[in-house]
Amino acid sequence: MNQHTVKAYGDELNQITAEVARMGGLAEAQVSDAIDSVARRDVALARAVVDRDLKLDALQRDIERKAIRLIALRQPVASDLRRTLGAMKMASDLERTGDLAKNIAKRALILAEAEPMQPLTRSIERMGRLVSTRLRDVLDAYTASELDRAVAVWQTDDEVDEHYNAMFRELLTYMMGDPRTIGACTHLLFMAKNLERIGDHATNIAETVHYEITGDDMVGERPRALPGAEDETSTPNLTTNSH
Amino acid sequence: MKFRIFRSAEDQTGAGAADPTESVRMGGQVLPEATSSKAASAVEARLEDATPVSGPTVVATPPTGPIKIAARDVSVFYDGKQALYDVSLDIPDKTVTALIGPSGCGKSTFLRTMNRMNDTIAGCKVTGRIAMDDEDINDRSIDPVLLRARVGMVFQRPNPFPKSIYENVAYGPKIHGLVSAKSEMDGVVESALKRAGLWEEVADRLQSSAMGLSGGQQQRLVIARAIAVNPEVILMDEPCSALDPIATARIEELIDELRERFCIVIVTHSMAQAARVSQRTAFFHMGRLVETGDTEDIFQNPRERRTLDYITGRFG
Repeated sequence: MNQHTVKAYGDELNQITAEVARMGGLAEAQVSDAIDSVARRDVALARAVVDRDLKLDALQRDIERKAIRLIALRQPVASDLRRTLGAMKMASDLERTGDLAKNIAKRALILAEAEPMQPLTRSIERMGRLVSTRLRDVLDAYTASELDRAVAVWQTDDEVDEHYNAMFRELLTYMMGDPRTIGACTHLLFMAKNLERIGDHATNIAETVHYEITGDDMVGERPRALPGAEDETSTPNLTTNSH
Repeated sequence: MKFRIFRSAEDQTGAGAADPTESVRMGGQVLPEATSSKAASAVEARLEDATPVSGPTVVATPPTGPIKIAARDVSVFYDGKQALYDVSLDIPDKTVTALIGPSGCGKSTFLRTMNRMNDTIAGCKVTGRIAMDDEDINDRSIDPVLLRARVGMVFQRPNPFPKSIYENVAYGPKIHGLVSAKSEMDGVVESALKRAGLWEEVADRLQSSAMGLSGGQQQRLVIARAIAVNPEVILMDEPCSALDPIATARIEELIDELRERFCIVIVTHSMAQAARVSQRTAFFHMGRLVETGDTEDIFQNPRERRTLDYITGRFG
């Protein structure tokens, strides 16, 4: 894309984009550190995740302030306007992602005091790796303006949902088998739910990237995981369409 | 700014330009000096280092509703040098169409083809076809004087006659013989001033000189003068560039009201203004019509790279 005739305008836009990319990197690290803290029962790491969330909040406020200032002073149109508004939307998705990662870390602190539940934490870890890969992919798509990559993330949203449904059933089985695990399992269930939501935010970001590049909404039906077929309690996905 | 035609008509010293029919030809409008051959050579100068980029016009969205003016393959030459290349554009009725583009892109040249203003420039040749309601306006049977009554024009700087407010508005209807009785004329003047949103401000001083009005008021007076002859089309060449933001807002509000009755074509350098007042936008570059479509499409997601570069301030 050509340079703006007013160089400062282009610089300001680039600055906002760079800040979103930085925020994305931080959010991604928060998610994977939160997962590590669960898997390794690492209390120090979990505390670090909780503390670092403030940084994400500050970045979001800064991006929002810069975007509003740019709109007021430069009146961006077309692709520039989409870029500015896209940055604001992404910043709020990333801020939410950070909150969810912080929540996982807080639960990791509680789980660290209970009995280890190896197979379950490994399932959470697998789901966490998948979600943070998706987050990384969509952020790379954003910084490199790669449409195909964003679309690929958007199209594979069902993988996370499948993981969540499987975890839900796994946890249910555990809790029914041994009611003493209900406390810990509930924390794990919330973690899985949080990861599923982070996956949704990654999907939102993919949509934002698509709109920013093309000016059009992502169209067509996104593949969806079928909710568990057995009974009503195993259809958690019906109410999770948060975007 | 001084107006050659009017000044000489007043002191009767000029030769050709003093001919009163000269200003009659403009349908009650006065030509500012800028439309003389001096402007033509400025256009040439800018075209010197311009490499024409070919390619068909991109139509982002076709116009809806009846077409008032249909231009087909319109080219304009100044002393053999081409300033406009094969412009084809449909201009819908009861709609504001904005012509945008950098200086020397041909947008004003194209505007002037629509009421044959280029006829007044020596060495200027127009080819192609411009049809208003399916009638070729360059046809021999068309009287340019009558054409300019049907296609009024408003210029960059307000150019009222140095006469009373009343006479400014009454001038067009009088010379075109539209009105005879004094009482009838009073009604025409009042209605034109009301439609131009100026009546309340001048009702009690219709006989004072128009030159005593503010710039914004003068521009609205000129618009009242243009609509007093009941035109079908109003051409505006940067009508707000000499006005402050408040006067500009009043003109823009007026344009929006006039759209219900007239087909309006406006040339503007302010892209924000084009976005605010128009429903259709046409982007010109280096003498060619690059892209046209609904204003909201052009400013949100243009199809052509050059359009995007221009509206986002990336030209160069």
